[in-house]
This record gives sequence, C-alpha cells and structure tokens, in this order.
Amino acid sequence: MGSFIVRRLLALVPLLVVISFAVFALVLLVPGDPAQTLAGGAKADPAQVAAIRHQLHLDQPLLAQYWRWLSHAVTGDLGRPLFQRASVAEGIRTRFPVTLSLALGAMGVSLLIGIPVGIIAGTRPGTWKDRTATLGSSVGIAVPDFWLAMVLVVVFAVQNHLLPAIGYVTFTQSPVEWARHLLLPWLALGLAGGATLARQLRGSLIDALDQDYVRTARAMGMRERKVIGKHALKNAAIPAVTIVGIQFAYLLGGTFIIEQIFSIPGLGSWMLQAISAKDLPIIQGVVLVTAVIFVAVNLVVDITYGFLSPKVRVT
Amino acid sequence: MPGQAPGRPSTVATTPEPNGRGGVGGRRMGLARRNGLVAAAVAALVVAACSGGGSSSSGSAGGASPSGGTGGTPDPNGVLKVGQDLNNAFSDNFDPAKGTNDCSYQDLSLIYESVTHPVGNDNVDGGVASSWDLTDPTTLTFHLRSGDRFSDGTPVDSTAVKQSLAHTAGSPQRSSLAVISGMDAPDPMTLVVHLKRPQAGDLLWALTYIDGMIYPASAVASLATKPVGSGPFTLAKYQTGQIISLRANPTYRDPSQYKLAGVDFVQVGSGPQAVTALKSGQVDMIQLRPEDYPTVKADPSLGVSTTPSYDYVTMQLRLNQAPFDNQQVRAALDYAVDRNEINRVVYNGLGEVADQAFPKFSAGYDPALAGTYTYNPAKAKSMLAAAGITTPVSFDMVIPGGEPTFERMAPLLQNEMAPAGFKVNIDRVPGGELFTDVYLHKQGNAVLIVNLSNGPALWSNFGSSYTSVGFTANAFGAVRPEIASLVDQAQGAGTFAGATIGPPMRQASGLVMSEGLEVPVVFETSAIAFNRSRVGGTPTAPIGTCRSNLAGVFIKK
Repeated sequence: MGSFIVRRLLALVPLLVVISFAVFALVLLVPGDPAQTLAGGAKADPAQVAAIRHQLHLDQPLLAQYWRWLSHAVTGDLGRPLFQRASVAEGIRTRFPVTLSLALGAMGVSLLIGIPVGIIAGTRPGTWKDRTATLGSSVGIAVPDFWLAMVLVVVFAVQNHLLPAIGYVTFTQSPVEWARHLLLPWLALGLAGGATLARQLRGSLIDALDQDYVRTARAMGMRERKVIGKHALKNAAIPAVTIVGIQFAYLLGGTFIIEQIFSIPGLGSWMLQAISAKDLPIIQGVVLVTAVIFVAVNLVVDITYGFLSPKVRVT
Repeated sequence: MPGQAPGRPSTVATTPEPNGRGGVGGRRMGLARRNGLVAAAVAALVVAACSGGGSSSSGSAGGASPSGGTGGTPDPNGVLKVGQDLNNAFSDNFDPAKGTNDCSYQDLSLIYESVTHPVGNDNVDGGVASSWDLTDPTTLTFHLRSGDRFSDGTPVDSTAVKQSLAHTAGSPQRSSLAVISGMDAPDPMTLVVHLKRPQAGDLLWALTYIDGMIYPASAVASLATKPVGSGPFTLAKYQTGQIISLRANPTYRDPSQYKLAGVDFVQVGSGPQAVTALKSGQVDMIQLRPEDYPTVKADPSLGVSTTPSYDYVTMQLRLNQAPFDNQQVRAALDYAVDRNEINRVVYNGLGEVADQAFPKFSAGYDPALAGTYTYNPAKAKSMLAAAGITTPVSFDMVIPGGEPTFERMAPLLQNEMAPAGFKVNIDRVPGGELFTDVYLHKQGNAVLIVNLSNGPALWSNFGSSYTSVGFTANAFGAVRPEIASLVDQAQGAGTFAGATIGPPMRQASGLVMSEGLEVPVVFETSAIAFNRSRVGGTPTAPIGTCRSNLAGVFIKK
C-alpha cells in the first residue's frame, strides 16, 4: 500500500507542473491591460502605464514571468490582487474555510441522503420503495441547485423567517449561527449530489448482489445484513466513491452560484468578483488552489480504491 | 477598463466618463451578468411569495421630490443595516486615495468629511470648509470651520486639508485634483488653492466627493485599514466582502444630523437578492433598481423613497463615421425613439422622459426644447427619404451586456426604430470592457450608456462629450468649440447658482439637440426601499447612483 501511494504521489508532480503553467498562461488569454487599468483607465498617462507594467514585471518574457510566479507560488506567495488590499494567499486563507464549510456540509447532506436511499433501493429492486427512490433521485438530479436555493429562501427566510437568507457567521463566532446560515445552502447543494449518489449506489449494489460470491455467502448461511454490509457494499462502493470524490471536488471549486445567492464570502464568489474585475492574480491563485484540490481529492479516491480493492494496488 | 470602477467626480473636472450603468462600470455590470439567470428566477419567486395587497409604500413614484417619512421614536442604540454589494461597490480600502471603486463613496462619506458638501440636486455647501471666495478665476480661498476635530482628537486645520488633498491628488483615479497647481495655508483656518485653469466650479464639485475627503496627516500610512476622519461615524469592524460596521463618532460637529448609533453595510447582491434580504428582515434598507420596484411596492411592510436624478440614459453617436456623420440621419433618429414607452416599460414610469440633457428641475432645462422629439416613425422615415438616404439605415448599437435595464431597453429601441427606417444591431459588450472596446477600439456606431450625474455641476454633462479635453468627444469626433466655450463660461464662474450657469447650459443644450449630437432617452430616478417597521424618520433616496443620504434616518424603538 505504501509503494502504491508513493507511485501515485510521484505521478502528480508533472501533472502539477502542467497545471501551474496552464494557470499562469491565463494571463495570455485575458484581453485588456491590467497596467492601463491601474494607471487610471482609458485616459492613463502612457509613461505611468509603462512604469506600472515594469513594476508588475509584465515587460519580461513569458517564461521568466512564469518562473518568477512559480518560485513564489511554491513558497505560498501567490502575489497581490490588482484591486484589493490583502494578498491572494491571505484572501484564500480567509475564504477557503468558508467554502470548505459549505462543501463539507453539502457533502454530509449528500451522504445522508444518498447512502441510505441507494441501499434501500439497491437491496429491494422493483419494489415500491425502489421506484419511489428512483423517482425521487431523478427529480433531485433534475432540479437545478440555484432554483432549489431560491425556493428554500422564499419558504424558510422570506415567508417564515426561520432561517437567514444571506450571510455567513464563522464557526468560532457562533456554531449555532454558523449552522443556521449554512443550512439552506447545504440543502440546495447537497440534494442533487445525494440523488446522484443514490442512483449510482443502487445500480452498483444490484450488480454486486448478483455476483457469485454473494450467492456463495448466502448459501453458507451468512446473515443478509453481513452479506450486504461486509461483501456487497464494499465492492459496490468503488464507483460510489468516485462519485463522492468528484462531487466533493466540485463543491470546493464550483459553488459560486450558491455563494452568490446566499452572499457567502467563499472562494467562488471571490473568483466571480475577480473575473468581473479581471484581477488576474486572484484568478490564478484560486484556479491553482482548486486544481490542486482536485488532484488531491483524486489521490484520496485512488488510495480509497486501493483500500477497497487489492487489485487496484498492483496496477 | 478591466475591473475598474470608472470615475464620477474623479473625472468631473475635465473628463467625466460615461458609464454602462450608474457609476460602477464593470463591477456592477459584471455582477448583473452573472446574476442574469439567477435574477430571473429570484424575481419570479419573490413576486410569487409576495402577499400582494395594495401599495402603501411611502415613495413618490416618479415624483419630483423625495419622500418616505415614517413615524416612531428613535432608538438611541439603533443600528441601521444597509444591504450593499460590497464585493462590487467597495474598494476593499478605506484610503480615499487608494480606492479604485467610486461607489466606496457611500461608505467613506460617513467616515470622512469632504471640503464641500452637496446640497440636494442643485447646490454645494460647506463641509470641512464653512465658506470660500473666488479671489480670482484661478484662486480659491477656503475658510475652515473652527472647532472641528478628527475622530482621533486632532484638530481639522488647513495643514491637514492641504496634506489630504496632496495625498489624494497622487492617485491616478482622482484626476480632478490635477487642476490644482499649488496650495498655501496662511493660517490654521485658511487654505488658498491655486488652479492651473479657471475651473473653480469643477474643483468645488469634486471636493464634495472622495477627492475632497480630509484626514490627519499622521493617519495616512494606515488609512487603508484604520480610517480617521471627521465624519459622523467611525469604523468599528470590517470583514472583506461581508460587513462594514460603523459607529457614531462622538467628536462629530453636528450629532443632531444623524440619529443612528451605527450603520452596518451588509454584503448582499444587488437587484432581487437585495429585495429578498430586505423582505426576510436581514437588512433594513437597500438601493432599489427600477425592475424591482413593482415587487417592493406590492409589499405593505416596505417603504420606498425616490429622488429625481440628473443621471440619464443616452445614445452617444459616432459622429465621425457613417451613418451618424450625416445630420439628417441624426435628426431622424431622434424621432425614432418612443421615450414615454421606455420610461413606462423599463422604468415603471419612475423616470423622466429626456428630450435634452437636463431634467425639468435643473437650471439647465430649456422648456423650449420640451417635446421637440415626440415619437414619430413616419416623420423620421420621410426625413430619411427626403434626404435621399436609402432605408433601412443599419447601425450597431453597443450596450453593456447582461445589465438588466439595458437588456430590456435595447430590444424596445430596436422595435421602435424599425418602422422609422432604422435597422439596429444590438452589440453586447461586457461592462468592464466598454471603455476599451467602444472608446479605444471604436466598436459600434452608437453606444447606449448612462451619462452620470454631476449634480449641480451642469457643465460636466458636456465637458467630456463635446470639448477637446474629453476623451468621449475625441473618440466620437464630437468636439464642438461653440459648446466648449459655453462649458468654460459656466465652470469658470465658480458658482452653482442657476441664474449664472443656467443660461449658457441651456444654450449648449440647444446646440446639442439642434445638431442631434446625442439621443437622450430617460432620466433615471434614484430609489431606496426600507423596512417600515424598523426604519423611522425621513429616509430619502440619495441624488444619484453610489451616493449616500442617511441624515434624519433612525431605527425605531
């Protein structure tokens, strides 16, 4: 298992280099001139524009700029935003816990919904319970998270004043308020994930329960709960783990609409703001962090595969 | 320009920049863009959630004066929660010289007092300065109020004012102060400002804004996070993109003006999200967009206050290119716009039809121009035919893409102009790129924008558009020396008195309209909405976008 993890880690190095260059190259794709913007816009003095360009090292060759950026990035220095005061690293440090809170809670909702519903449907195929679960998961997948968020806001915040419609309170300030502010976003984000997970788990559980080893276990008189829990579910979990991994990575990098709706100051809303302002250092920093998180989550998923299936460890 | 909130009074002096919408340029438009889909859903759902009922809002929809008074007893500990899109309307920096977003004025103006102060829509009064003299056309002498103190206890004197203006003048964003050639502080209560050009009026107006905010020299190094001013409030807490928490400044010279123990600016997206936050009780007050007016008006628990504004939607024309290098085409175009219909549909009747560059309440308004260009597509078409111009006349009209007001207005204009012989191609440009694409890269034959109010500085309406120092005028080939001389006459007077600056501005307005240099459409109305059970006093909408007016407002006991 140890060599398996080391192999996977080594494989990440070239991937991260490619990702970092792609992230840095974003600067080439964005139209406009940050130096001109900082110098005052369309009416800027050309000499001042040139001075700012020099100050930002934008007058250096691309590879030199990349090396400079990378050498700083590996030390945690992701530069300074063009239009904000705090450094990019500080901004990420402030906002990442917010997005992580959102993602973990939403993932919890997904697991709470997806696992029991998937098991119930997968172990009772063709019954009314299975059909209800299948219909429910289809609806859950079809409902856009932003629409669900709006419905939740109208029902729980505007009409009944039970939960806040906007804002965020840190866990350290007040755990109760933290949860109250995040409950609606968790539900909005977690429902679709739970539905997807339930469908995936149902399908793979039905397949697993049809395998010879399950038939053998049952023939040997093993209790059904043990057959499902110890043997079938462990094998059925491999594709479900993939789904969970992808969902978690998505939640960490793709919650910007929900953050926007609920005015949650996470990475997603910050990223949107930066895109709107063409604040490249922030865009680069957030994309890099998100990409690294994706890679890290994939690594965890790979390791989990190895734990669940010995066959994977030797490939 | 990318990410920049282009100027209001930063550009007052010489180059007031037009905006996609209301002074915040790319930031607000960027928000609108990304909220487009969500906004539609929110609007529908919030409307559905409304309890209906008749209007009991206190606003004067479309009226000519602010209103909104509500009863109640002030809570001495009451803190007003104002919903504001801090991500897009605040610079993340409390140093007036460092901010890149002019909408920060809403927050900063409660911390810092400026040299002068706007009075409603038509005058400028003293702020830090109690009065001033125009010693000669290029010399302004300010007399400071005695006894004023900054929140750190240090006195407000001429040295502090001089150093503040010198510090702020170093910012590329605050170009209006570039007109200052030198400053003298002969005594602690007097500051003499020397100008490079006779533009005293411009400077007096600019000094009402961020450009004129005053702070002690000892605080400059830490202003970004620890602002020190002489305004009614001080900064108590700031969390980037979440909250700006202000508390009453015990050293403020006139505490009777503000009946609030504090103001919390709470992050909330603009438009439907702000309405949702207001209806759910999480904020007490928001700025109201015209498209949200019906939703708010239908809710008896909410009040609305409206104030007429100088901000107006206009179509700027590229006069140095076909088809608008032809005056007959331009004249026909003015008859091809149904301004009443746009005001009714897009602004819910809250705006004022614009048949010139000044609204009715302004000294620049010329009654003789009223109704000159009533919608008449048949007349427009016959004018084109009489001039031998082949129809349809096709042109590209740039709009700030994704901005709800413009997205609603552009198809209406397209439909109105079709029977008049014009084929309009709507060209959407992201708000943040409007300046680059339209003014530098010359995209489109016309651009639909909001010409930002400079309040009583009437000449600013024309300074950028028609004088040689205006980049809009140069980009669009619209420099008109006869208008420029009228602008010089008004801004050099050093006064905002209608009797003085009204006549030259009316004359300039007549020239603009007789040559068809632009197509004014609608004057916008500034509007706020508030929770009637929480907010008392006289909540009054500020005079324009990104302005602030919380005097006389209180939280009810």
